[in-house]
Amino acid sequence: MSEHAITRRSFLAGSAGAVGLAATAGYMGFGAWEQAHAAGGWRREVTTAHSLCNSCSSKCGFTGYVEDGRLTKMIGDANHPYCEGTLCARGYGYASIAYSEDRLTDPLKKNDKGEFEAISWEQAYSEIAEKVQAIISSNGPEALAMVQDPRPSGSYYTKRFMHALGSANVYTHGAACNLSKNSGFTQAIGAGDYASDVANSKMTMFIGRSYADAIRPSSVHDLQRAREKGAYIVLVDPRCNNTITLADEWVPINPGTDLALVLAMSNVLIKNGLYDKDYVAENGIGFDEWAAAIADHTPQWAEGVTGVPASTIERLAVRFAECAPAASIEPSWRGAFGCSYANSGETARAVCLFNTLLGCWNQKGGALFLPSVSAGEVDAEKFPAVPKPEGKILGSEEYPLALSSMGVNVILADKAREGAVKGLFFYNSNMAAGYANPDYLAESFSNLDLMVAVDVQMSETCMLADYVLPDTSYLERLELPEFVSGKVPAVTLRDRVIEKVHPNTKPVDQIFSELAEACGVGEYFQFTVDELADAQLRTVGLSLEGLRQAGGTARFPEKEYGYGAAVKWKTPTGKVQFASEACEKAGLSAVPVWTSPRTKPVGGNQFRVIGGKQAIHTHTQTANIEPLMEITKKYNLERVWMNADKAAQLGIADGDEVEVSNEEHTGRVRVKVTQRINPEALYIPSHYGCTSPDQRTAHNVGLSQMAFVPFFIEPGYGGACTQEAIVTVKKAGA
Amino acid sequence: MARYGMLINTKKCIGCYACRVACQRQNDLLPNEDFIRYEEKETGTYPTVRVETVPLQCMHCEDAPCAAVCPTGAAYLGPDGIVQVDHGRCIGCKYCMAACPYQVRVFNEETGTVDKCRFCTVSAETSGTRMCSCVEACLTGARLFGDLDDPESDIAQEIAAANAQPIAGDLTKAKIFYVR
Amino acid sequence: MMESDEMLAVLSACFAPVERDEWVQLTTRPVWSDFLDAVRRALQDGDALGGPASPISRARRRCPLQEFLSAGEVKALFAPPTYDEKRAFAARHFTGGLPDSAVPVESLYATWSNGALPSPFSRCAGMYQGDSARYMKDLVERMGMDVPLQFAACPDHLALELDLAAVLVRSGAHDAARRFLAERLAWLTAYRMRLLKLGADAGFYIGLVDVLVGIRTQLASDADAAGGRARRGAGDAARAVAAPNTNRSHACI
Repeated sequence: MSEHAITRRSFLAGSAGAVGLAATAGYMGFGAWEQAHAAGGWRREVTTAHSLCNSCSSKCGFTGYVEDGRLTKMIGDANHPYCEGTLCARGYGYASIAYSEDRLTDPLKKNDKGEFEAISWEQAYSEIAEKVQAIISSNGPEALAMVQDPRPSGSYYTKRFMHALGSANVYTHGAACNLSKNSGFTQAIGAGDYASDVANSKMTMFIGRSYADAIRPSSVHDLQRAREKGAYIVLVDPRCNNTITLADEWVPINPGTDLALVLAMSNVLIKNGLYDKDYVAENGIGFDEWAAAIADHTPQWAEGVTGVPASTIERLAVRFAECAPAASIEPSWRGAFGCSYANSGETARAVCLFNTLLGCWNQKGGALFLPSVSAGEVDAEKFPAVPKPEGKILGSEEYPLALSSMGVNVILADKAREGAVKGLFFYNSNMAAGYANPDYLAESFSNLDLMVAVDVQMSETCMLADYVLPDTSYLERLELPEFVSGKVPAVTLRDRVIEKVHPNTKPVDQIFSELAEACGVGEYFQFTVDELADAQLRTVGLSLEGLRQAGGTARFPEKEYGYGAAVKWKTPTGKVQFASEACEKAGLSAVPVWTSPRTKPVGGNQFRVIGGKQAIHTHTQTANIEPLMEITKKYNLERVWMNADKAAQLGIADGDEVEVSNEEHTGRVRVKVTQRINPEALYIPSHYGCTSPDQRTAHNVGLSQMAFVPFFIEPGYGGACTQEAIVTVKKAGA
Repeated sequence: MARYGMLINTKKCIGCYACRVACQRQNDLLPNEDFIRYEEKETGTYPTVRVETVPLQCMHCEDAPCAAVCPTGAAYLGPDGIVQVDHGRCIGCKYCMAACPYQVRVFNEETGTVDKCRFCTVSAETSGTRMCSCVEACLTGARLFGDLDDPESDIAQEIAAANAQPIAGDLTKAKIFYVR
Repeated sequence: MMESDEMLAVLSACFAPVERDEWVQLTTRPVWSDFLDAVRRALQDGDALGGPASPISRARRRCPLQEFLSAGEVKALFAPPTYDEKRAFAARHFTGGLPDSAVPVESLYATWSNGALPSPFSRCAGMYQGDSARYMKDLVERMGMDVPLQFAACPDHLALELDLAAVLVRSGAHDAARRFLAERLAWLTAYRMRLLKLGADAGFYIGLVDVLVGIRTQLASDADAAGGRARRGAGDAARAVAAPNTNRSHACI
C-alpha cells in the first residue's frame, strides 16, 4: 500500500506516520519512566498559583502547587480574610473534581429516547439560540429565566446574558438558602445582612447556625477568640450541633419556634425596661405598636410554644441586657430562618428588632455593618451597559418582600406549569435536587420548551435538561475579582491553577459570551474575562497582574471599619422599622408577632424533618467526592438522628434501619439514637440521597431531605420552606 | 536526639475531619485509608448533654505492642521515638493490628501491608516547609507537635501546664498526650 | 497485504474521532478485509508485529479468526459500523460523565499514581491524567512529537496508544513497539468490563478490545517463551476473557 494510504495516517507524526531513528531512541519503558520520576531525576516544573476554593460559598484563598501540570498540594492562604491559613476538609477533598471520571467532557443533547449524546458546541449554540429566539418571538423575553448559585464570573455573565436578551428573570439559589432571612432583615434595618462581632462579644446567640458544621475557618477562629475572652455563647437549635465544643449552652428549641423565643426575650427586655431606650427612640419607628403587640408574648407563653423553660428565656434575656451592647443574635447564614419555615422572614425581622433593643449596632462586640469595596465604572465603549429589561422579575408581584437581587426561584416551577416560562437556564445550580420537592420540580420542568444546564458533572438538574454544557472546574479558570466585606475589606481572585483538563470544556464567561453571539446579542460581550477583570481592578487602584503578584488577596486599609459609626438606615422610613408598611401591604402583621409554622408534628411517631450541614459536605455538591464520602461511610454520617426517649417509645434502637415516610416520599435509612436532639425533630443530613447514577460515589447513599418537603412557598417572602415537612418513622419491616 | 510527641486538646476539637483529609493528602493514602480515626463521646441526658470528639492515631508508644508481636521486625521503634513500618519486611499478618490497644493501624489492600501515622510533621518541624499535616491543618489549633525532651518546647510546657495525659494512662508509654 | 503498523493505525482509528470519508475508506473492501486478515495473523503469531514475515512462514499456518474470538464478535468485526453509527456510539459512550460513558482512557481504569508523581489524589482510581497519561505525554515528547490537542486531556487514550505503537513499528523500532503494547494494554481487561455493560452496539468495540487483549497476550507469551513458540497464548487468553466459545477446532497448524 502507498505511503500515504489512509491506513498510515497518524495523529502524532504527520501523514506518513513515521519518525527518525534518533526519535525512536527516545523510547523509554514505563518502569524506567516511573523510576526516573520517583528518583527525582526528571525535570519537574513546579508552579504555584493563588486561587479561591469552590467547595462552599466562602471561597477561601489557597495556594495550589502544580508539578508538571498536576495539582500536588493546597495550602490555605494566611492573608485571605475567610481562610486565615487553614482550609477545611472539603477544601482538600473537593479539588479532585478537576480529574474526576464523572466530569462532563462535551456538550450534550438529549435525544428522542431520552439519552444524552455528545454534540459540537456550534450545534449546541445554534439550536439553543434558535429555541431562545422562538420563545422570545412567541412569548417575549420574560418567558426566559436563569437560576445560578452565585460565583464571581457566573453572577456577572448570567445576568448580563439574560438582560441582553431582555429578561429580568435572573435568580440565585436564595429561596432555598437565605432569601427569607435577608428579605426580613431588609424590612427591619434596610440591609440584607450584618455581621456579629463574635470575637469581641460578651454574649452571642446562634439560631440554627453552626460554625463548626458549616465551616468558614475565620468564623471558627473568631468563636475561639470569643471563648478565650470569656464570652457566653448560646446555641439555639433543635439539634446539639458540633459547635457545642465551643459554646456554653445549648437551647434545644422545638423546631420552627425561634420567632417565639426572640419575641419572648424582647418581651422581657421591654417589660423590665432593660432595653436601650434612647437608642430605640432615636433610631426606631413603630416601637410602641410592637411593644403593645407582644405584651402577651411572655416567657410563660413561649415555654408552651418553644419547649424552652420560661426561666431559661428570662435568664437569657437578662444576660443579654447585662452584656449589651457587646452582644447580639448572630445573623446566621441559612441557619434556622434562611428559608425553612412559613415564619422565617418574620423571625429575621424579630432578630433585628431584638438587636436594636440591645443598642448593639456598630458597637464593639455587637452587630456590625462592615464596609466593602466594589468595582467602579469601566470603559463604556469596551464594556457597554446593557439596557435594563422592561419587565420585573417574575415572582415579585406574588412575593413582594423577596429581595429582587435574589428572586423567588421556586416560583419558576409554577410559572413553567402555567406556561408563563418556556425556557430555563441553570448555571452551577442543582435546583432540581436541592431547592424544593424534586418530583414536583421535575414534573414542572417537563413543560418547558428549552432547558439548558451548565455544570461540571451530571447533576439531577442536568438530567432533566435538553442541553447540558460542560463547564471547566474552578481550578481551571480565571474569574472576575471577588470583593469581600470585612473590618478591612478585601478583593480576592479565583485564578487558573491548572490547565484545562478537558479541551472541549469551557469557562462560564466563554459559554455565555458565545451563546449571546449565537442569540444575536453578542455586541455586549466583545471582551475577555481577563480584560474585564483587569478593568474592574483598575477602578480600585489595582490591576490583574498586580493582584496576582500580591498573592491573590489585596486589602483596602483606607476603608477600615471603625466602631461607633451612626447607621444610616436604608429603609423607606430611614429608621429601624419595628413596624413595616410593606409587610402590612403583603398581608402580614405590620409588626412581627407570633406566627406558627405551617405544619406541626402531633407526637407519636410523627417528626418534623430538619436539615443541616456536616463539616465534610456542602449541600449535595460534595457527595460525589470519594475522600469525603469515605468519611460518611466510615462513620455512618448518612444516618438520621432521633431523640433517645422517642426512640425507646417507638422500639427503635441505635443503628436500626427505619422507614421514613410522608405523602411526598418514603425511604429507608439507619438511625442514630441520641440525646442530642429535640424529640419533635428528625435530623436528615442535607447532603445525601443522590439520585443521579452518573455520580458514582454519591448515588444511593442516605436519604434526600428535600424529597420529603412538600412544594410550598413562604407567603410574602418567597422562601422554599425546606423544613415544613412532617414524616412518620417506624422500624423497617415492623 | 529529639523525642517527638504530640498533644491533642479535645476541648478544642470540633470533629471537622480536616486533619484526616489533610493527612491522606500529605501521605498519599487511599480514600478509605485513614491514619486518624475518631471516637465521639456523648455524655448526659437530653437536654443536658456534652459531646467530645477524640481523634486517635498511632501513639508512638515506647512500649509498642505492635513491635513486640511483629514476627518479622517490620514494626519497630526508631531512634527518634517514632514507631515505623518497614514495608519491605511487612508480610501483612495483621498481628500488630490485633495487638494495638488504640486500633489505629490500617491494612492497605493494595500493597497487602499495614500502615499508620508516620509523625510526618517531623519534616515540617525540621525543614520548616508548610505541609498538609494534621497539626498544620487543624482549624482550632487543637494539636501541638514537638520535642518532648526539650523543656522549652511549646508542647512540653503545655503538657505540664494542662497536665495532659496519654489516652490510656501509662499503659504503653504513649507519646500522644491529651487535654480533655 | 496489510502490514502490522497499518493494522494498529486502523485499530486506533476505530476508537478515535475520524472524518466521514476516512472511515468510509477504511471500512470498504479491500481495506477492511485486509485489516481483518492482519488481525488474524497478529492473533496467531506475535511475530507479525516484528515486521513482514517470510512468505513461507505466512503460508505455514492459517487459523481462522473464529479460533480467537467468539462468533458474535467475529460477526461484529465483519460488519463494522457505518460512519453515522460510529459517531452516534461515540456521542453516547466516548464522552464523559454519563452513566453509559465508556471513554477509552487508561487513567480511568487504573490507580492515579503509584508514587512516581505524588499528588493529593494519588491513590484514587478512576480519574483523568494519571501516571499513564503523564508517561504517554513524556514519551511522545521525548520522541520529538506533540500530543495533539484533541488528546490533551488524555494522552493515554487508547487511540493514541495504538497510534504511537504504529509509529514505533513504522519507524523500525519493533522491539520497543512490542514492549510498549505489552505494557500499555493491560488495562483493557477492566475496560472490557465497562463495555459489557453497554448495549448490543458495543459488540464491535468488545471485539476490537479482545483482538488487542489477544495480541498483548501473544506478545507476552512470546516474551515468556522466547524461542519456544508455544502455540497457545492469544487464543486461550481471548477465550479467558471473551464469552464462552465452544466447538473450537484445534486443527490450526
